[in-house]
Amino acid sequence: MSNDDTRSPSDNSVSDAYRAVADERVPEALDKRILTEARQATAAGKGRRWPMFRPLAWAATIGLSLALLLEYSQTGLDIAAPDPAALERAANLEALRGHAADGVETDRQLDDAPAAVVLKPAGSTPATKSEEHTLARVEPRDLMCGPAGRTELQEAELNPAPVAE
Amino acid sequence: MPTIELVTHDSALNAAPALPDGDAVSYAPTMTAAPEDTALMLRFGEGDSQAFEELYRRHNDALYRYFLRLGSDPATAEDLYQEAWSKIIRARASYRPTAKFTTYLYRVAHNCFIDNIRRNKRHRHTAQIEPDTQAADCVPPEAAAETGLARRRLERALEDLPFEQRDAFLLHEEAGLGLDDIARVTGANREAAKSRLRYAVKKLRAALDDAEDSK
Repeated sequence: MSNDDTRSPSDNSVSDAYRAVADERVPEALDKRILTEARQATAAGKGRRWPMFRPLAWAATIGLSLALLLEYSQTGLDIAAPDPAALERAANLEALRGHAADGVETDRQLDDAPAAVVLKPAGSTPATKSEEHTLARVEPRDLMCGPAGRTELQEAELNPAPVAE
Repeated sequence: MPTIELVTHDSALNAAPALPDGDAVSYAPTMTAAPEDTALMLRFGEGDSQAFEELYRRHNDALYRYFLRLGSDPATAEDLYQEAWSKIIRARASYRPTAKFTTYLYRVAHNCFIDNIRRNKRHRHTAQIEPDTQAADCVPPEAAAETGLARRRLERALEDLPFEQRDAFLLHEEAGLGLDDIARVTGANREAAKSRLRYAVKKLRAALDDAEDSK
């Protein structure tokens, strides 16, 4: 069979003797069983059609990426060339805000205040810093659960006073 | 697929004398004769059942004899044979040609046999070959009797070998594997494989010589 360095010429006699008697063949029924199994396996594999879907998936991914790239590049151009009128309006707005900052709580401060503090029931004592911090983490919807958590304004909205005739 | 060709000819290149760089092309004509086993297996992995049939016809009888002579009774040999091919079929998609296909096939077969021994704990050492598995249907009675005697003699000599030596001998004779591949299949090192094969051949030759002397 193979020419290994382990085989001396006299070893061929062993190989020949073995070859002379080793002539068994696989039973045909067994051959058929295995070949049928292989055919069924490939038929089942073809049903999945992975080889077709793979290039399609790649094409879709590349197309989507290109579309996103184009979209973002166009948005970037808009930002690079802003409208001069819009710039002027923004400058005016900044100037107005600067005036409002003296002695009056600015919009910015109001915006930065935690939403939960605003929703605190009326009449209660002001929240400490730690309470504010805790309340800020709570979702506003969690505070809207019952009458105890409602503000006066919410209460008035929910239960309007009867109109005098 | 150049990488497959390189891997396929791995053992051939190892066995061949050293060549200057760039002379590997000299081995290219071997590819033109028939598709390599690994190429057929890869085609089967892509869904070509004809490729599997061709591959199967190349190895079926040798693998069957490997199981039969390794120490299985015919029924167990058939079961193990089918189990080994089923594993090959199931693993077709994940097959990577890192070695010769024959090495891969016989490694699967070897593991099936070892697993079977572990499952049963009771390893029937004797190979009982039923008359209907013989391919001597058309042989004259005298010749058949002589072949039968030689067969029994050789079988007895094979049975007397330790499992590892018998395994190495059968991998060499039936699969045509070299020492490196025998070592790879059995999980032993090259020196162990060489030693096992040498002892197996020595003992078989002694048994055959004794039989000749006693005639």
